[in-house]
Formats: sequence, structure tokens, C-alpha cells
Amino acid sequence: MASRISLPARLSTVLPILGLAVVAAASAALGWGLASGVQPEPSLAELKQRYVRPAAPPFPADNSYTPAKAELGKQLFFDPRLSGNNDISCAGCHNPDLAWEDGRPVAQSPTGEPRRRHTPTLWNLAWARTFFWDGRSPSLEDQATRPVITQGEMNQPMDSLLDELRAIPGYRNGFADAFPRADKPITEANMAKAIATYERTIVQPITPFDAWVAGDRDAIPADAKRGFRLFNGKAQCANCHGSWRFTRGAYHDIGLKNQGDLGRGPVLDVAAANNAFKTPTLRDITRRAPYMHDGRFKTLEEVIQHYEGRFVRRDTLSADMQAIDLTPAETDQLIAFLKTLETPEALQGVTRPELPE
Amino acid sequence: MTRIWGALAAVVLLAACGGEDAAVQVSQKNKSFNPNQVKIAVGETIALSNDDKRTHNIRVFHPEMNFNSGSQDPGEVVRLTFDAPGTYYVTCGIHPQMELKVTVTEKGSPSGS
Ligand SMILES: [Cu+2]
Repeated sequence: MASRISLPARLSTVLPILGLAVVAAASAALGWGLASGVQPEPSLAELKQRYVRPAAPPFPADNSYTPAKAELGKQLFFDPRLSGNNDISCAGCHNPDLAWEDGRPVAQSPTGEPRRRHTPTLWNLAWARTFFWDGRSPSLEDQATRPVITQGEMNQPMDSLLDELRAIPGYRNGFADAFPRADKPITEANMAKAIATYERTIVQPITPFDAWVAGDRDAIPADAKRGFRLFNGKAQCANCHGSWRFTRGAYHDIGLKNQGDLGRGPVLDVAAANNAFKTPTLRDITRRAPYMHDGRFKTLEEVIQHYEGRFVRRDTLSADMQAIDLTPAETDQLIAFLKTLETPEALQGVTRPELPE
Repeated sequence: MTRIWGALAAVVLLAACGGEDAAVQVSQKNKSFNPNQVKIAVGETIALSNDDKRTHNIRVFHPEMNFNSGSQDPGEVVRLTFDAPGTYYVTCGIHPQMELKVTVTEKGSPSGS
């Protein structure tokens, strides 16, 4: 069983109660009632507390971190020899220069055909519990090799890939270093473990927002601070995106007109989860257009307009979906806030590994 | 392959009516379980009641138990009985961050519940 950080979940249940008590006391002192039904807003310090980053990513007990494993995983991640035609690596779609996405509305097969869904970013997946837009994969180890063998993605049968890797002396050494106790270390399971270990190290660098949460008052501009308030209040974004990862990992039908993809429902065999997709992180969102699981919106303005009531009302619509109403100035503030989740330019991208020969 | 325990796990969906039993009560609200860990003995039952405004989907993945409640609407109660000792994690398929840790002890041992 993977070790998990459960603190944020506990905090999120405790804090609103504390916040309520504090605001209730304050508003009682000012002579306001709470009977209006309007949720009182927690203090800024309390809000920021919900967004504090953990110090380091967790690794599961059955796939602990070693530098050799992470290095091997990085080589595999960037190696086009993992694909059937030796022409595309994991990084071909999860491009570190594009916040681990590909800049397209939906992913593209190596031969140029559009796939069904938008390539998701890889930021901070060490803390995630389900993978793919529909969550059909329960671990990074399970997820990592699936695109490799999928037709229309990397399209390489596992047996032929393992033979290919075994013929490369550099990989024979790399797998032996990463899995020193294994007789025959080059296996599908070990390949998955190495790639998953590397992926758990893909943690977004400190953004201006993180610096502000950590106490640097001038790290973000005033309109972004107002946007943060809106994010947690009037714009209701935090209902689903409110955590340091800017997702709570849940599945929601946000009322996008269905274009033939039912998302989570068929995976769970639960009709109530039809049209629901995993809440994506908002970290680096300004570098990750176009938006939604199928890339249907080009701009954040369009996304916000969607939440302003342009969504389909249907049985499966998430209980967290209520039309919001922002002024143009507020929309600008919200976007100014989202901009502070951007990786500083000097820290964008990664050094490519030298591939084994 | 894991066994599907849907039928065996003595699970009943019924409208919440409180009443009856000695089952350990767990509430689901605001996308979390409360309490979020319980200790019971083999054969004892947990009653998970959806006090939320949203549909949940109770799941257990464990070598001894593979369970899917299907859709659990607001007001519905899912009852789970565990037939083997061990540590189980009850989650929600729709809100996977929801987690209830269930420690199941041998019959007759002090369960703390
Ligand atoms: Cu749920």
C-alpha cells in the first residue's frame, strides 16, 4: 500500500470549521447575523494555509526512491526506442518545455491522427491516486507502460521492447544498478517502476504563488491577490481545485456538451459518474492551453464563461457546479491569480539525459 | 483474478432511517469520511451513510475483498461486513481522495469499537 500524505485532507475538514468560528465571532462583534445563508469567508492566513506545499514527494513502500532508479526512469522516459518505430518517446507528448503537455487540443498519434483526449501534464503526480482523465489506472506503475503498448500511441509490443532493451549494454547496466537484487532486471514491472520513480520527481518548482504562501508579501501583484480571494470565494473554483496541487483528484461532470466520451462512468460502471472527468491541476495552466479534457476551449476567458452558466444541466451534473457571475475586472483578477501558478522561466524545462548505448 | 464480493459482502442499500443496529456508523459529508478510521472485528458491520449532497461510490480493493457499491445517492446507506482480518481502505470511485481506514481484527480480540 502506497504511503500517503493525509494531512491536507484532514486540514481541509478542520479549517472551514475554525474559519467559521472565527468569522462568526467577528461578525457577531460587528452585529452581522449568519442567518443570511451566505458562507462567511475565512481569513487570508487560513486560506493560504490550505495551499502550503509538502516538503517532498512520497514514494510507495514497494517502489522506494533510489537515484539509480530515477535516472534509469528518466532515460526510458526520453528514449524514442520505447516506441514501435523508435521515433517517439514519452516526452514526445509530455514535453517538459510545454509544462509536460504537447500544446495540442487532443493528443496525436505518431502518424498524425487526433486521439480522443488532451495530453495531461505530469506535475505533482506523486500525490495523485488515479491516472488518466477517466482514472482507469490506479498507480503510476500501472499507468507508465500503457501508452508504450497502445496502438495509436507508442505502439510497441512489450516483448519486443524488452528484447530491444536487453540488447543495449547501457540499459543492462542501468537496470542492474536500479534493481541490484534481481537476477534478470530487465522486465516490464521494473521498467514501470523506474519510469514511475522518475515521474514522482516531476514536482513543479516554486512559483510566485508558492513564494507568497510561504510569506513573501511582494511575490504576486495586488490583482492576483484579489483573484486568489475570488478563487476561494465568489468564483467557487476551490470547491474542486482547492488544494496545493490545485485539484482534489475528484471526478466531476462540469456540463460540457457530450461529444461521445462518457469519462469516469464506464470505468466505475456507475451511471452517475457519466460525463465526469478528473479535475485537472491548475499549476502552469497559463502554459497549458487549450483547455478541458478534449481541448475545446482556447483561452481561460472561455473557460470562465463556461462556468458562468454556459453548461449543460443534466442528471449527472456535479453538485459543485453552480453558475458563477464575475465582472470583467474580476475575470481579469482571477486570471492574474492563475498566472502566478506559472513555473518561472529560468526553471522551465529539464536537461535531457544521455541515452544508453 | 480477484473475487467480486458484491453479493457476499452482506451489503444493503437502504434509505437512511437510523434505527436498528450495532453497526459502526460512518458519515460521508463534504467529500470525506467521518471518522476516517475505524477498528472492528471479523463479522462486524460498518454502516456508511451518505449525508452529503452528492453521489458517492464505495469501493474496496483488497486481496480479500473487491467491492463496488454502485451509485450511492444522498441519504443512502452502504453496509460493509469484513470476513478476514487485515487493513482495508474504503475509498470513493468518484472522489478518490476520500479514504476510510478499516482495521479488522480476529473475532474475540479487543476491537476497540
Ligand atoms: Cu465520493
